[in-house]
Amino acid sequence: MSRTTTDRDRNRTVHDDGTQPWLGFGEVRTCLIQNLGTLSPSASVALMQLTPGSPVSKVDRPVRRVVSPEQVTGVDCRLQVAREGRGRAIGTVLSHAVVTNGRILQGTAYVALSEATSKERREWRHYLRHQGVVEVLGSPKPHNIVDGYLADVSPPARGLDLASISDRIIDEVQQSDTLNHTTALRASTAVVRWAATLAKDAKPTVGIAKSDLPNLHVIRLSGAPDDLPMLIRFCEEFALHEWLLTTVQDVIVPRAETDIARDRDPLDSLLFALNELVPLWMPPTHLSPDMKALWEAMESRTHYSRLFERQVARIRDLRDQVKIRPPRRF
Amino acid sequence: MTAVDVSYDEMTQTAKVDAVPLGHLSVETGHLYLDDFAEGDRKIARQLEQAAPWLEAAGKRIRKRFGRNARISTCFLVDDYTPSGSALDQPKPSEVVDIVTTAADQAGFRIDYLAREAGCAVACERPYSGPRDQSALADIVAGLIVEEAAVGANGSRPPTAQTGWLSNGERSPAVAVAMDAPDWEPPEEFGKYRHSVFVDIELWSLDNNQTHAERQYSCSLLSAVWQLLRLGLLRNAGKAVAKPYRFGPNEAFPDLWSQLPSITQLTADAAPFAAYQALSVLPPHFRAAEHAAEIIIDHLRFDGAVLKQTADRARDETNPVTLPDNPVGRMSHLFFDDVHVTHND
Repeated sequence: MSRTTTDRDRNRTVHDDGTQPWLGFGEVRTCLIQNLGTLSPSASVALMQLTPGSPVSKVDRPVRRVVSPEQVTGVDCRLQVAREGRGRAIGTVLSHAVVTNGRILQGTAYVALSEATSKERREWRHYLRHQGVVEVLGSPKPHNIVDGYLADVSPPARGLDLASISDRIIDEVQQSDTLNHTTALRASTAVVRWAATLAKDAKPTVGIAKSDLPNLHVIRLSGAPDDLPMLIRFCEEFALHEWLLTTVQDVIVPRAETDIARDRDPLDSLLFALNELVPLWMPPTHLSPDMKALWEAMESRTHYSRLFERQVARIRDLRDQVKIRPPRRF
Repeated sequence: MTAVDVSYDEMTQTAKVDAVPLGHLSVETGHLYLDDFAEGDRKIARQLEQAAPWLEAAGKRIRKRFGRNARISTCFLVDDYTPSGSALDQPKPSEVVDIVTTAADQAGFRIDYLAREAGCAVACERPYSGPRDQSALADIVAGLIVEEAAVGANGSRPPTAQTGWLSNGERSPAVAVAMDAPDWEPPEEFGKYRHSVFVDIELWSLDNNQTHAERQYSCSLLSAVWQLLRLGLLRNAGKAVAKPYRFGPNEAFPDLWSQLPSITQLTADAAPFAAYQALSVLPPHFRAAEHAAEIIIDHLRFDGAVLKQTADRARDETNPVTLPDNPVGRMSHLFFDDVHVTHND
């Protein structure tokens, strides 16, 4: 199983007929691209061309971010509802892959939930006109749907299986013939599962919980329906930064310390971290005032940037130690 | 300190969507295999003669609704994709153009555009085109198919369109053909009305003789591509595809069909090739493939920008045209019968 993460903010989640979604669900996976070197810009674009003839989106600054065209998966399944109530979701889930700086791969699946426009399943083209929306038949309470979805983490999923969808898109990318399928670093895949409650005039809020399962974070968000694209992007950016911090703190630093203690050379992974991972730390505050406010509010609680700086300083210290007293075994 | 409003955009972030010229009506006056020209103009003459009254009737109706200047174009499709007897016996493009033009004259109308079916699989923008001005349209359309979710599908399983088949319902579960197979269940059309009309469409087959098998696309999928071209709904990364090409007065036609552009404009002052409405006047044996093409088109996820652009253009016409939401609603067919009146010359 490979894991991935994604990001993107060009989906339209509002129905033409004005029905607004009242929930948004998603799952983001983040991992290293299985390739020894950094992918060039053109190689990143080619890798993200998952649908022929659909444009790949590319932004060069502040970090190079290449996003695949949206993939569409049809669903018609019962919702996993906590406590009481039943619901059936019919429509399509969107997913896409993102490559950041030719190094990090993310796979994202997301969907907006809105009220059903009829009591029966409608013709398929109706659902294709509102891509990324599932209509909910039945009337379970939104907070029960959210709790049910966020708790439905052990495979096989009993409700909407966004985990498999985001996983598949990662697999599809990682299996590409253009990659050499080796990585400079053994790091795991991190998963962020999120649910947003949407209501007119609601102010954006974020609540992050680190799960007791390894590499899993659960995020509850709220906002207005129009905020959904921003919330999706927020979760993708959070997933990327969370993965960077975890990788540096739990993989790079402890391994280097162990290597030094055993007189082995840790320099390769320290330099990989400094040259390849540290430049990726770029909070998305430039995207919009709302994103800036949301991200900074999150920072003021978690101090992620400060934690990351501390880890980076630690890596530099270790590098300097190795330079002063080289290990005996090269 | 005052806040300064700064914006920063990168052009590669969102693709621009080209507009294509659109008329009111595109009439497909026929569809023939290259082998059909082996007997000269007999088949095409009969085909165009059958189509003529319907073309006239459709034209009248459109002019009545949209005025005398309504833009109506005619086209003809030649199948150079299906492998035929022998490439040596094939008529040259220039010969076919002459036959078609003459036959249309006799039938009392003009054919504005000649298209070739292989040019629907891979669009060629101009004669002798190379990979740089080609678009793999069949691949693009196949990539836009979103299978209808079966009841219970929650995203766990990958879609089966990768098998090269698309159905409009739930297939019958695979069971061993045995007299005592008790678990046989019938297939079922999604959203059926009482009884099912279950259709399973082969989108492509693979030539298994080669290591790198090439997809051989089915008539059904290529018909879908052809109809979408006529409705002006296909783009390659936002760019228009298969724009009609007009040969200059001193420019000779290529000798090989594969060197011809996808769509060749035959008349000087033709109305646009693509149109708000597409009518096909065809012999009855195309019925199944045309039905399959409609099902395929009903399972495509269109770029919202392209649909909106088309609908806006239609609404802004002098006599506004209201397009239905689904592209299939802009297509109509007329399948004539096989009864011929024999002339006693």
